[in-house]
Amino acid sequence: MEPFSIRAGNNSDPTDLPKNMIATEPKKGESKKDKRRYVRFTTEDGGTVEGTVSEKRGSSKISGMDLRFNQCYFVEEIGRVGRLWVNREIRNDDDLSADLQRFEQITEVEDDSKIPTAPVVSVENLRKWYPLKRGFFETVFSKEEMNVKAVDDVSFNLSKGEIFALAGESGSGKTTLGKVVLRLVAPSSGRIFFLGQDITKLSDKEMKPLRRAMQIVFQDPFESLDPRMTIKEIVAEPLRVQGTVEVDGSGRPRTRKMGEREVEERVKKMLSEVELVPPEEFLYRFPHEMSGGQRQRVAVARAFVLNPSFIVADEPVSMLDVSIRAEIVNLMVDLVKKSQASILFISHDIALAKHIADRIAVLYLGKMMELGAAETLVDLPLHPYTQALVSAVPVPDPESKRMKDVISGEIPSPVDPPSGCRFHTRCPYAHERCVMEEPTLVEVEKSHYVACHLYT
Amino acid sequence: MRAVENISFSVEQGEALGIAGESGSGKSTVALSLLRILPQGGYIRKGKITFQGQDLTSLPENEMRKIRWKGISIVFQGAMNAMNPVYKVGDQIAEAIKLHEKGVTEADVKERVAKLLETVGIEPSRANNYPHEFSGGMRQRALIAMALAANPVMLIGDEPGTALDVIVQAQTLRLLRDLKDRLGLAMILISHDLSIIAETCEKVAIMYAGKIVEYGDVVSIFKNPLHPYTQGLIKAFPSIKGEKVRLSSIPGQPPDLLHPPPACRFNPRCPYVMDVCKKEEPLLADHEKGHLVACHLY
Repeated sequence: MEPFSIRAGNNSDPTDLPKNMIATEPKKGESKKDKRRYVRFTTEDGGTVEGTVSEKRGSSKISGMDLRFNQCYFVEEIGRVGRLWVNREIRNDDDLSADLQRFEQITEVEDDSKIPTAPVVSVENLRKWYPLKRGFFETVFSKEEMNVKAVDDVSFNLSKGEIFALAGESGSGKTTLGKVVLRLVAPSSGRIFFLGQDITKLSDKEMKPLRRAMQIVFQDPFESLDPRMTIKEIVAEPLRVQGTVEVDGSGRPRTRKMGEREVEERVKKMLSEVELVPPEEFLYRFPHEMSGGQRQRVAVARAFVLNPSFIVADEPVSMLDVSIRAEIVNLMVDLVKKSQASILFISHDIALAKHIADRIAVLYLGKMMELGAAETLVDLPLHPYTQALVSAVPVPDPESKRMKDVISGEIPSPVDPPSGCRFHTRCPYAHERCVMEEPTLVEVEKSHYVACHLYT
Repeated sequence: MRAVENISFSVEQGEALGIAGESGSGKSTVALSLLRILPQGGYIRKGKITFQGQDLTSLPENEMRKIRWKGISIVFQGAMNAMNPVYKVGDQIAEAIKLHEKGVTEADVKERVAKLLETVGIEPSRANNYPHEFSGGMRQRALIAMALAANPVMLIGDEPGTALDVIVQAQTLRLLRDLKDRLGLAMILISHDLSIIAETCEKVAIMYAGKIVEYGDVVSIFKNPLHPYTQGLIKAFPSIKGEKVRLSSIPGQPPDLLHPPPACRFNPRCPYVMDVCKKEEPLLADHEKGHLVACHLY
């Protein structure tokens, strides 16, 4: 989609739009005559607005939308409103319904599928720096601050039902990124949106109801399950903590504690979904009575039991034997398809990522080097680092002995990353510009982004 | 528990044998048996290990000590923990040289250490560093240098590079292959990763539940895998090449060696299981020109 810009202008006139607006051309199959456009822009207070715009006599307009608001509200599922994502402050229900009526006028769309879905998770310029502990004298005499730049200026969107893989060597910051997105650790700067809501600054208490919709599967099923809890207790714990949500008479969602029988039913159902059958046989077992593969199924069951919309899977199969790895991966892919959850799949195994992910992002020293559709990125990698990563993967074919070149060196320290392009110290194509200037992530082919001076 | 049962193979000089299998298949036990360093309680019940004409199983302990390091040397997995953190890397390599060669001079040792480090691609001046000052890949290299300290005839690599990143792993394997060719080492590479073996070894033994189920040269095993377990294992690897596919796996669990399944140990997971598989154990037999398989299908 080729972005085109729309002029910025005076805020008092609703037909004038704020700065940094981008709008996309009609999607494939949609005629240019179709007046609806999908837009996304930054408001003056730094928020984001996304929605469709109808064009009237040549002037772009979002009718009646007040742009002073500073909170996001996700109105995806309300009637014919379609998917409109706006920055606004909702004071009370009257405000909301009045606004919704206004939106309805501009988004009368015959076919819902023509409007792109708002992302489930959206990350903008995310940074996570860890200050380095220093001795007393250094603190006193040296002004310079030292930081481990674990994640440095990363942005991406995750749409509904998408499997998004983060690939990179250890030390590339992929695990930190996963934790920051879930707000398990606080970001140093940048913004995180979850279902349209800015969660960057939410308190733990405010996060708790959202945790229902965001879950994690850890790498090692031998450590991530409490050895003193039965399988039933492990899978039931999220249900007990979060309860269940019901819509009451007035149409408001209410959280309710679950009864013991209800919990057991849900746990059993979940266990059969992860193919631990018959579930009765597993309910009262302890983790040590199960094999690695079965334990990881329990961890998957625990993550999916609340029907989350977003799951971070941090190397979920790298501790498992090869012969059972595929089973767990396929199980997760099937659950994602069924529940339409989105997954951030963290993996050092780019070959595995190719087969299960929709898109892959390659990280190096906390920076995104390349982002694209999984197959394209692996088959035709653009960034020299991705090329190195792909060619280093061993191939189960004895006739293609690895005579190809392996790049030398190892990932440098994230405390003092190389200047300019962080990969220039190991890059076979590095030139002067790479040392001086940091490349930005640009779209070089359709939906294929790369941060490398070779392409600019 | 019988960790390894009835296994035979041979390795020539300048040749690499890969032993592949899942965790619990007994592949590491094979390595430890060769060096007679089995954990306490473990012992070799039967069989022979012939190394340069000598049977290692019947050697007295003090003779065996001469074989270790000088004859057969091992690189363990887990490059992060295999070195002593309070000694300098160079001193740890020097210790191995001094132990195995009586009467070497201090200057000689120093020179040898520098040369060894150079062989594995580490700047010799780094000998004065402590292990924590080395990166993961460098520690793995230093361990290889240490294993080569007494000029061994044979090198065993137990999952070398497994804990390392792909690029560093590729560097390590490349180094091992170069060393094998340059020094004419006999090598045994133990790994759960078939692709690593495909890229580095000439011969492969596939182990399942303590037994070799298939054995042969690397090309015929990968191009024409005979045993259903080998076929499943090869298919289970996501290939970086080719179309995007749904991954396939071997259903079921690796067996519990305390209660192994009767007859063919793979029968509960085998897609081609027949009646005979549950009654009679298949023997490892030559299928064609040195390609051995233990399966009733053949």
